[in-house]
Amino acid sequence: MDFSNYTVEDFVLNDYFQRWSKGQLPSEDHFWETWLAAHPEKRDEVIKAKILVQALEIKPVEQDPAETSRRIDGVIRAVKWRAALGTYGWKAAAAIVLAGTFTYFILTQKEGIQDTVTPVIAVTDSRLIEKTNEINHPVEIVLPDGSKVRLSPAARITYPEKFDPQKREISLEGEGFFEIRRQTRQPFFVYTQDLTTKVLGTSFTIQARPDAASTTVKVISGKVSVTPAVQDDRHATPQQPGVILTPNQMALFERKPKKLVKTIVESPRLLPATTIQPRAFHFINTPVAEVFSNLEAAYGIPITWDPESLKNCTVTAPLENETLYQKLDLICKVLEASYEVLDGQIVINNNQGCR
Amino acid sequence: MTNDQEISELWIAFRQGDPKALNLLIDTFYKILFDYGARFTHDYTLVEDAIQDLFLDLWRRRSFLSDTPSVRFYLLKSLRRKIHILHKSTLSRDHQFFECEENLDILSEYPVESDIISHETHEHLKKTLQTAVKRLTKRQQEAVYLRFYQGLGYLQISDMMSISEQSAYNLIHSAIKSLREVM
Repeated sequence: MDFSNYTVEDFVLNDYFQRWSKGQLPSEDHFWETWLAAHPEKRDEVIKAKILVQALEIKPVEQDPAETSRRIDGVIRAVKWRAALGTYGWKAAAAIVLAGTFTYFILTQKEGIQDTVTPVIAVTDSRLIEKTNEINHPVEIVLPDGSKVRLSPAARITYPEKFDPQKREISLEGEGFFEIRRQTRQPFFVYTQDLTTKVLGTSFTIQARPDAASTTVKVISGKVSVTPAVQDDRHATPQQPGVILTPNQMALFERKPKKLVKTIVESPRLLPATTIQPRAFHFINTPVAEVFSNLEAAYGIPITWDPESLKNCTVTAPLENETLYQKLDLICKVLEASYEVLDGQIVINNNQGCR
Repeated sequence: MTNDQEISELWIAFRQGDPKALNLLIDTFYKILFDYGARFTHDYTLVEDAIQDLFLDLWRRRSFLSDTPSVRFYLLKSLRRKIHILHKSTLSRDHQFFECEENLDILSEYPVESDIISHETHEHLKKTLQTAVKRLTKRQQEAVYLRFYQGLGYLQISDMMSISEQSAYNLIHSAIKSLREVM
């Protein structure tokens, strides 16, 4: 390569020269110094070219290595996750019903916008399996751990060929009815676009209902933890606070603005596990404490009341099959109190004491 | 992983659907892509989204991808398009009358490294040059970036910037010439 006819521009555009100008050549490489010594007439041009190369040096955009590493992982997971799921709108409902060693819960979600699906499943080397129900009646699928899912028409689940030993994870789009085997060392997670539901107890039920731009998860019995879907790394939010739901409690997640509210289901049901005595709600001069603790035990919903103001009150009300709210209405009427639902609990407000 | 041969093999493995190749591809090119993308917009979230979208697309279409002599170039070019698409949808004004690629200008804050090798006698000159670099047109700056930083050839640059090869060559040479004039 004959450099003696090179102009300043030629030098500038030469890769080897560029590297020398930037000090990127190995220290043993003295080519240019030697060449320059042999071609003193080019010295001026070489110096100019070197300065130009340095002036054209482009500073890389700042990228903190740890942050970049995290982002790379995030992208990898997001890509694999999204590729596995597709980007359909979500219509999710998973019904899990409790029975013996199985756990059932229901969760439903209204069809949403096609947002970026968040990467949640730990991508193992296990292949991701996707099953879609393309016929017009429910189809049963057996999961790798023996749990079963009954998929409604048009629903889809995605799960790994082999569950991660730390946790079982599945994503759901559409409606599905789950029978989950109890495995304490390997909690079970169901991911839908907005919420993540974790099976905690051995026997619980979650029930949810579609609502406009929201997702709800309702517990019939047992215990479930619900958190907003994990955002991928770029949003850099800390672990989102979730809610733990016990029977008759409900989590309501709204998209705009984003919030997760804990409340009580519209129609609280008697806990299936309790044996209700025939006249358990037939209160006759029953002390308030007993009334409320009865109700708490029967429905599993904590009731908060002020022992001071209601200390000596009793309730006479022949209640039986009314809904919980109806019961509360009647009881509060007797006590001249009122109640409200706050954070998944019932709070009795009474300012007057009782006669 | 810097070896051309290795990248070539990686690309083949990727197209064949090897998930490890996907990991490695992202790992290898993320920084480069991010650097490039970050020169078009300060919205780094948009850049990351674009990168994610890009790899998702490629992964989905992997069996339809053909072999390419420069994976780096292919990725950069595809990213540019992605960013443009994402950027367009966040623009509030109507820019439809601009040609596709033209609306996306490389940042005028073209950071110039000044102290790689410092020779005090040349410090003043360097500063003058740096000012001159900032006064280069955006097209010149982008061409220079692609040539000097990303190491692309004129043909690739012309493809990327939707200009002729001659124009790419001219851009770079005129840039250098402008700088020479202040020396």
